[in-house]
Amino acid sequence: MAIVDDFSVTAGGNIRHDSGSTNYTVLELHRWLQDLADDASAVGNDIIDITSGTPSERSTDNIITLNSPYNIDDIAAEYLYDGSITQGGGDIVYSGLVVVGSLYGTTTLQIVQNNLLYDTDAPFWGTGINVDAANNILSRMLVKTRDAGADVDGKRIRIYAREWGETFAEFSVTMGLGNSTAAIFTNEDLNNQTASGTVATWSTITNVEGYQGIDVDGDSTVEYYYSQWNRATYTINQLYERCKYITRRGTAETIHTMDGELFRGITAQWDYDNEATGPYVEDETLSWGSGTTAGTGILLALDDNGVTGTVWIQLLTGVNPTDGLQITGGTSSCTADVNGSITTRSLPSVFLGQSTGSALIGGFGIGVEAADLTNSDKLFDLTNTQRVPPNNVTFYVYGLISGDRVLVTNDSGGIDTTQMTLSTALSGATETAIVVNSIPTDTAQTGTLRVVLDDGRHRYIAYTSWTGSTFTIGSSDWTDPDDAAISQGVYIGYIDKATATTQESFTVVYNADRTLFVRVRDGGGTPIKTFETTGSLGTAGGSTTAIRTSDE
Amino acid sequence: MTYSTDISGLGADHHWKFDGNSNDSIGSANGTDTSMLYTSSAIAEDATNCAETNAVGDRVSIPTTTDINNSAQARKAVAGWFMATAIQNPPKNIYGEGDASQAFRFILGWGNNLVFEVDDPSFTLQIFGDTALEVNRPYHLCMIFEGNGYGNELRAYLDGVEQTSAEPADRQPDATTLTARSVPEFGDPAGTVAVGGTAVILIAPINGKWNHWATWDGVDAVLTDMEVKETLFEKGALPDITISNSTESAMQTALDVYSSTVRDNAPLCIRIEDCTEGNFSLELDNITFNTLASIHIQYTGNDTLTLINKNGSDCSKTSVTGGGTIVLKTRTTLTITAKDVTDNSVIIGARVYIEADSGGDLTSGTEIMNTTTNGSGIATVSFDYTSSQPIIGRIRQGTSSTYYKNGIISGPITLSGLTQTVLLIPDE
Repeated sequence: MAIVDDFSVTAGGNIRHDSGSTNYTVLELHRWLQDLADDASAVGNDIIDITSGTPSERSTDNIITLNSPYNIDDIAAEYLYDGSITQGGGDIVYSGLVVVGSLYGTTTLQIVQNNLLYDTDAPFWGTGINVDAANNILSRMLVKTRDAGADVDGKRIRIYAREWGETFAEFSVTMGLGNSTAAIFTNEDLNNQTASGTVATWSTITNVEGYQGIDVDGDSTVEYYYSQWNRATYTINQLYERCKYITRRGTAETIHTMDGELFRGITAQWDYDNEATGPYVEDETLSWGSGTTAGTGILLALDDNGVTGTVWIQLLTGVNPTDGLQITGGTSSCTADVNGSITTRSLPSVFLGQSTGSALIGGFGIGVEAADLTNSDKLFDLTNTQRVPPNNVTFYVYGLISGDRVLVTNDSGGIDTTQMTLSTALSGATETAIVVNSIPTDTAQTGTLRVVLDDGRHRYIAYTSWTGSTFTIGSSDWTDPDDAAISQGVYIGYIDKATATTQESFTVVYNADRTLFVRVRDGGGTPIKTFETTGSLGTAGGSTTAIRTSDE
Repeated sequence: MTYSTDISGLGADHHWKFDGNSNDSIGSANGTDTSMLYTSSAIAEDATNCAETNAVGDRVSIPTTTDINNSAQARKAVAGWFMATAIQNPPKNIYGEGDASQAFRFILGWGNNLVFEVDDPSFTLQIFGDTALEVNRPYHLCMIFEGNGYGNELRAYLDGVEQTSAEPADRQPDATTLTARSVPEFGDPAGTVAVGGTAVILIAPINGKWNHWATWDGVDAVLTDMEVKETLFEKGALPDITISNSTESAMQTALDVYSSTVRDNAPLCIRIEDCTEGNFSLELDNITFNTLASIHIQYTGNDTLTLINKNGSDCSKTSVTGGGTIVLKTRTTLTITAKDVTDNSVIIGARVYIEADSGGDLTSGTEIMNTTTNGSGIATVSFDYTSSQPIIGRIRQGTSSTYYKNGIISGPITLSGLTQTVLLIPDE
């Protein structure tokens, strides 16, 4: 079929697509119209001939203008490509888009314009239209970028590839006349192999949105993030898959009150002052400026300090604000002025960040519960400072029963009673600190000690914290005979308790391999011979299982 | 309606047809002939013969009549057909009333130049014809006097065209009446008369011929320009050629007999009667007309006759006597050449379109030209020009490479047609 069969032109200048599935370049449209325009008289349903006004003008092969009253509609535009169509005296522009690159599998690209999906989840270009594989052209089509005399979001669009099982990608472009090019590359995502239907059931993976303080690096000081993800019983990579699920093409999920398909993460931040009628409310839409300075963004995190503060947003439409511009909250009606320059942030292809399969490199501002992280993970807080969780390793003693007494200490051929030595004698009635020569760095912040008293007893004492060489203990009486002189031994009871369960464990921050001494005794109703062994605490922790040899 | 009826319909008081005699067909002022002949063919419509003088003493005397000469007249008109068969050597009297003191007179002067004159004790007015009378060519003469109680002017007409060269130039008598005069006479005056207020002896033209002379007195004497031209002149003029009533095709054939001819100086060159088919068109193929001819073509029907000058025809003076209309057109040629602006090569097959724009005779949007350029890049069409025609024109070539942008043809179409070369810009 030819264009003359698929299109028609009314006497009023309406150029419409009637039938067929063939697509035509804008130049072919122009040639067809010009061919009609030099006919002696119009025939059929194409009402153009020599008596008609000139229907179209060609600036280049890719830039065509339809002279009023000639016009196409959105449907007709779907069958055109490779250039732009301007009509209505410039009030309407369909810009040409060429998407190049390579895609893994069958991908439906999405276009976001003015914070909306262009032509829904199932756009007219499907999995590719007007493809030219030899030239790595994935799709070519027209996108309406100006309507009713106004540019649609400054002619800005964003092309997405968010296909399940494939890497995500996006490309931003400002359209114009002729063709504008976007580049998209995707591959199989080896860290996204779970069926989407399965991931759909992982609803226990949750997130606390907004400004969150988390001590990710274990330095006792919290850092701030715009989320706090809880991976529940799932792995860190499964958390990654869940986040892809929320933002994939066709998702029904929302995040920060947005359609997941539109969510990207933090794109900019700024400090503000002169707050009035505040505060802002997280997840509300902020707006600013007018004309070329106008923009909107969703507030993802807020650090409010009264009349000053800091906001982190995802830009939705328009452009970022500038210093001094007033920002208005769409829900709160709060106003404040930008104070200083805007800091933009780069986005990962998946908002959560990158997954290595077993670890997470977080996107800017992404927060995860500290307990859900390992030393292999890396997060970036809202100051863009990398935070690495400590290497928490756990040693387990299995094979216990309630009533067993479990002791795990450092090993030196048995209990290492001189793991540490007192630097200060303990003899007072209200001692609150135990000062030793040196505390190992992998010592837990809280725990128990054994102090070898002058009379040889090993006194059990709990500490609440330590720093430097000093353990902090509750006020306690160390007067004679419960005293201990300088150089008396002190050792850590990594586990030093009567268990009520079948296993005990302790977690410390790994520093170096440690050999542990393990003793289990039960002299109760089902007595066992003393179980003693050594165990190794390594980078992956360690464990041992008590052998219960009956002593009856 | 006959010509005689037309004359009486204007309220003439007296009418001498001179078709065999000098009887007054309206009044009772029958003329007395002195050696007048009535054997020659008429020089106007509605007559078989004319009155003729062939000796200096020949005349027709009209009895003194109150409403012609024998009273002071505030308003007076006299008109009729006259032809001379030779250049007159001394001045001759065509028609006159009065003597050397007061007169109302048509004088054929030296070289056959006309003088229309009224004399009165208080004024002498002369109007000079702008054309010397050609021999054997009938002319319609008319003179109208109004005293200062009315129009206060003397008007004279030659073949329905007012003559304005006068002495004094304002042609105003500034007197209430024209004093009573002696008897009217055609040809040789019996007594002494005056020219320019000076007594002279006038005699009869040799030969002079007369038909359909009439006089008016009072309000009816104030004939309008249109009455003089269209009724007295155009309806009385004899045609050299008559294209008789028939079909359009037959009439065209009859007219084509005269293609490539030059029509003589005549009061009426060609008369075209009505067509049996209603409105019709005839082409004048290289028929030119003597510039002194008074009417080129006259149409006697009541439909619309479209006359098209082509191949050099120059018909411009027309007359309608039957209530119809003549639309006069000149066939011109529109020649449009299309060329490529980059190398000046001709463009073959370009569509050339011209339509009428507003402001001309054609209805806006009327298609004038819709064709394609030939192997020389030229497109032509004939156009029958009436008046300057504004146009909207364009050239397009969008069917095959080399494609061109729309080109504009500018107008208007004039009497010489339209010749234009349009340079088209390639659209690829």
